[in-house]
Amino acid sequence: MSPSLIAIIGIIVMLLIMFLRLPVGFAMALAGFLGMLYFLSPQAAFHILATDIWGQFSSYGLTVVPLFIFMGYICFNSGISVRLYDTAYKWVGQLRGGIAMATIVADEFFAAICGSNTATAATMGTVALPQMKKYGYDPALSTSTVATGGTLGVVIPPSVVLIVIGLQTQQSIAKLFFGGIFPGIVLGVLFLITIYILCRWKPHFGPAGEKTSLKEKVAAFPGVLEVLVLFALVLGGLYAGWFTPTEAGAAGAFGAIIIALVRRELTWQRFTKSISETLRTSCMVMVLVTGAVIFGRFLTATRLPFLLADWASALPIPHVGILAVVLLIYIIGGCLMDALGFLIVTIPIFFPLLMALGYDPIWAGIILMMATTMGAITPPVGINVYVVKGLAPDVPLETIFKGVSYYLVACIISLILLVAFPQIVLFLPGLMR
Amino acid sequence: MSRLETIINVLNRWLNWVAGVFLVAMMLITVVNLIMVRVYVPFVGTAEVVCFLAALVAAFALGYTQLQKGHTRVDILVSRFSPRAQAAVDSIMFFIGTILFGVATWQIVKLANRYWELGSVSETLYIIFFPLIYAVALGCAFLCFVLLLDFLKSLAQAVKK
Repeated sequence: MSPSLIAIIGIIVMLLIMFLRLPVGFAMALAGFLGMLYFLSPQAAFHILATDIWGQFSSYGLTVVPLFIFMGYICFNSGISVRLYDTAYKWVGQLRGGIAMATIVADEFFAAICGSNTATAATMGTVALPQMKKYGYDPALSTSTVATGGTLGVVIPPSVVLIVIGLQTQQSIAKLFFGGIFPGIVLGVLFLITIYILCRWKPHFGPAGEKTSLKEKVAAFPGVLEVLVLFALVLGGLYAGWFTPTEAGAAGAFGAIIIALVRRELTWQRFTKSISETLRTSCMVMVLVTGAVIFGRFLTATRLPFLLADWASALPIPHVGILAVVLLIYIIGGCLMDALGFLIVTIPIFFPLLMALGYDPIWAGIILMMATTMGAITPPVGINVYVVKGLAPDVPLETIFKGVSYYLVACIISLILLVAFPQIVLFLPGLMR
Repeated sequence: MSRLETIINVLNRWLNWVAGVFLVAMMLITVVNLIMVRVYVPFVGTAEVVCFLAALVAAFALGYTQLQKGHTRVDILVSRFSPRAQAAVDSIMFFIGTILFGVATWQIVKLANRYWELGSVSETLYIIFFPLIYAVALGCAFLCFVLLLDFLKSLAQAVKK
């Protein structure tokens, strides 16, 4: 049997057991282990299984994962979101669709301190949904705004997805973080434009909120101050070269604890809850990454990713056509399974392909992240939609998905913009030493 | 079964709390070192200690994460099956998972034995680190117990009349 055929069988086995509900990280580790058992030798397969689990769990690169997740959960559990939302509401709440816009603006800020889309959606949902209900917002707009705005959590740094991409592709996490800033802002602005157009088209979707004076708007500014301080500490430290990503994560988590303590919002119960949630999420991510490393070793041994890259780069079609196919696969894949899981499974296959096509690795990482993130809001497994459904049980799932479809147009436009103007991604990383 | 379940739950919860203590320690050591670098001298081997703590954080949380069904799963296909068929599929997958992590535990113990025999020490602090590899094997073993429990529960549901 040829190595390529063995690799393809390995991929099919992995997908099969994954779709039969074996956890994604376990499925990748098992398929990789069995593949090496057959393709290399039992001795090599056993050795790689043990050394990769120990090696990944104790690698300095992965230490960044729990620390940034800890920072996000401290912010999530300590009520920072309430002040953020209040400030954003005072700034734009009086516009038509203004409360939905305030939710997106608050998401942009919250995303700057939290790297998870579900945490961002859950945080803003608890604050924004009752407000939008109070002002008679259409449930399709209110729920979809919260679900979609949550995706900014992984686009704007710090981002768990970008950390994982950096670890898997051996790219600088700091550069990926800076590469995500402008795309996050562009996506947020496109969401705001979507709300504006929707509320012009169907005014009953989002009636205007209460008017606020300029004085009130200025007075609300301190609500975002602590977030700006944390963001500046983490990203500024990375940019200036003071911190490694791990140190930035630790400083961010510590800073978040100090802010929450000063605000008297961090009870022992909230602190332990943050730890428990951090452990669960970090462990899940670390198992996914470890599984992907084991599976990646099997694929590398068979040389399938390189053969695929050579084959695709020699195709007589423009590279952007191949890129479009890859992005389509990511969008569809994100619909079928958990976005982070899909990304981790496919990076060993598609990242070498994008490199062979001559794309910049930082740009490619951001583009893949943006495409996969759409999976968090597309049916049937859009995780953010289910988070919002949990917060608004009276709204049918179809209504939320219908509202999300308006925002998907904005997501696709943002992808087209990033492909057409790579500088949106590459400008800030290009300034780094 | 319920007694076995209680024991596994309690042990994994304890281990998870130990992981929590290590998580906070990771953060504090890194932050204190950041300050020390600027005001005096850095702690030697901080990165190494943080790596070891991270390994324990991940390994000790393995079982509890599975107890909470926190490991990402793809639900789209099996959730359409009847409850009994779901239980049957789950029991097979949990059994496969038990075997996988059983093998992993065994191999990690062998890896630790090898480092012990070689007398290997860490690169910066020159400390023996094989006990930490045993600790990672312990985390995998606890995950194995949880998967075994999940297997037994799914099997019981699948064969229930």
